Amino acid sequence: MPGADPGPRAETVIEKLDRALRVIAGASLALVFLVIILQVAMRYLLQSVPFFMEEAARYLCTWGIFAGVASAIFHGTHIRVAVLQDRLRKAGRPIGLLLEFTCLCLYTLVAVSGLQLALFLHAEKSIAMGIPLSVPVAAIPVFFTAAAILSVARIRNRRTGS
Amino acid sequence: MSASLVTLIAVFLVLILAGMPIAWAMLAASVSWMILTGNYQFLQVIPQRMFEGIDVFVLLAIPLFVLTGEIINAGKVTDRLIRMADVCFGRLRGGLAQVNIGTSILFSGITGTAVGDVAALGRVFIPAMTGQGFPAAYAAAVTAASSIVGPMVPPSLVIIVFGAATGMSIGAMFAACVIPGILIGVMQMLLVAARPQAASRRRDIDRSFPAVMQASRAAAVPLMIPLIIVVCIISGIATPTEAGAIAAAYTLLIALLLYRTLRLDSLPGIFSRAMVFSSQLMILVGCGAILSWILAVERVPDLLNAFLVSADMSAVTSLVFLNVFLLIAGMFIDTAAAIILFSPLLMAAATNVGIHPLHFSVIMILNLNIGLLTPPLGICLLTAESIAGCDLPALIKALAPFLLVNIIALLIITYIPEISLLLPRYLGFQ
Repeated sequence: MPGADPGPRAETVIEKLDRALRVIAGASLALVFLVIILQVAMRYLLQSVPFFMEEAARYLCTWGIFAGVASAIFHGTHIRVAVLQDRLRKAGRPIGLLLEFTCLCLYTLVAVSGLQLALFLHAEKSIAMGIPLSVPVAAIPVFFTAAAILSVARIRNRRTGS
Repeated sequence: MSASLVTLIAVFLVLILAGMPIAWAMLAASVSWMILTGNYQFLQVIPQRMFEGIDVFVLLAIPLFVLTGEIINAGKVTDRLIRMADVCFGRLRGGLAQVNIGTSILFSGITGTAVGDVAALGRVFIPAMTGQGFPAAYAAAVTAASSIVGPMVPPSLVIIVFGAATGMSIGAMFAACVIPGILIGVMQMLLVAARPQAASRRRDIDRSFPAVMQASRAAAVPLMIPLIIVVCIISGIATPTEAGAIAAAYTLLIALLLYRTLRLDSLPGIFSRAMVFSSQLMILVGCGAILSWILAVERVPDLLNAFLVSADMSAVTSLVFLNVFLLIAGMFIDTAAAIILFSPLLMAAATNVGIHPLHFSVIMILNLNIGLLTPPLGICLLTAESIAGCDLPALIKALAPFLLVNIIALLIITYIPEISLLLPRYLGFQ
């Protein structure tokens, strides 16, 4: 609508997306924790462990990790050496912006090639659970798309100085 | 070395220095190599290698160890350990500086990474030390220097990453790193005692028998956490991943039921923080897997082997070469990333010249951790600087004796392999 200020609404959507990513990350770790504990308990109490548990834990963890990666992108907490940018202060802002754009291109590239990989693997089944391999691999396109969206928000925040 | 490989290294270093996150710098360097060599079809390999790099069962130990650390911090269990270290080490020459190092030894690797330990312990010890009259730069230097003890003693995330990258037994590596880790801590304590700030001996600590017993009792239960992990892994009761889950369950139980310092409603936040923090390490592994694949395509391991063979280096000379290379690499690259990139290459080269794989793993981990303290780009150095709010030149000056002590310890560990191999051999690892 002409004249409407889309800023605050867009910000809310971005924050919701970030919160959703953190919930997915936390929930997946909680499930991984439960599956592994159950695996240990069953091995010692029942002397048998269902074949699928290790695979389930691995795939759950992969989803959680990529969700966490996207959230960490939004918060700018990925491990880096910031000494040059910090020393340059204002003069370092164009470098920072250029790096953000480069990263945005990388996230998009990974999302697209990840989608192609997921589609390619859709017909193949996992060894233990028998689910399509596209299910665990889909974490890459899903969360790198989220990362690209959050990266755009970061670039906008940098440009507006917010 | 091909022009495309030189470009890959140059792009990687320039982007890191410019401030790009290390994982994305590895990714960008890989993409630039694929474009330069005209192998656009290799772009498909990126998600595949990234997924395969992360989808490894043993790496699940990382979020579970981090979860244990998060529960410990949120449940204020750390306070009991610091109190114990205070009673044990506070009366030594150097007071709180000794407690700072002692906490790193007693509960090494609260977060499992050196930089995580600086962030966690630095926020406690740097203000406390400056409050007692220590210069801020010295407090930051002690915190940064002692943080490298953590990744040497179990539970250590870098050891897990090393084991996943090279296929070595994590139990054997835990055992190999224990004595070197304690040696470094003790050498740092001796340095603190010998420094002028040693006048700051603490006399306000009650060291009566009941007080010592009380502190020991309070810390006994949390001190079992690293013990549980080590015993489970070394005895074969559990895999490293299962040991991580058992440690997290134990910590959760003591914080929720025994100490009642943790509320159920704080658990979602703890799980979420632990996973987001772990993802920052795991993506390094994922992106590192792409870069190591390119290094293999470029036949870098063969080039390295050929270099060592043509130079006709003995084990001793090779160790000098490896130490210098790793110290320089550690100045620029994060420990986990460096392990993913270099450990498979260097391990093969080191084994070829007769260096024991376990001995080499200890040397490599220690070297890369020392790199975290080395100016101008050491991440631990810069983290301690930001917490202390001191000048970088002052911090570097205060840190210099600790760096020297660490390098002396590195040389001792390098040239006396028994320090690393004694415990694993005693425990039956070959």
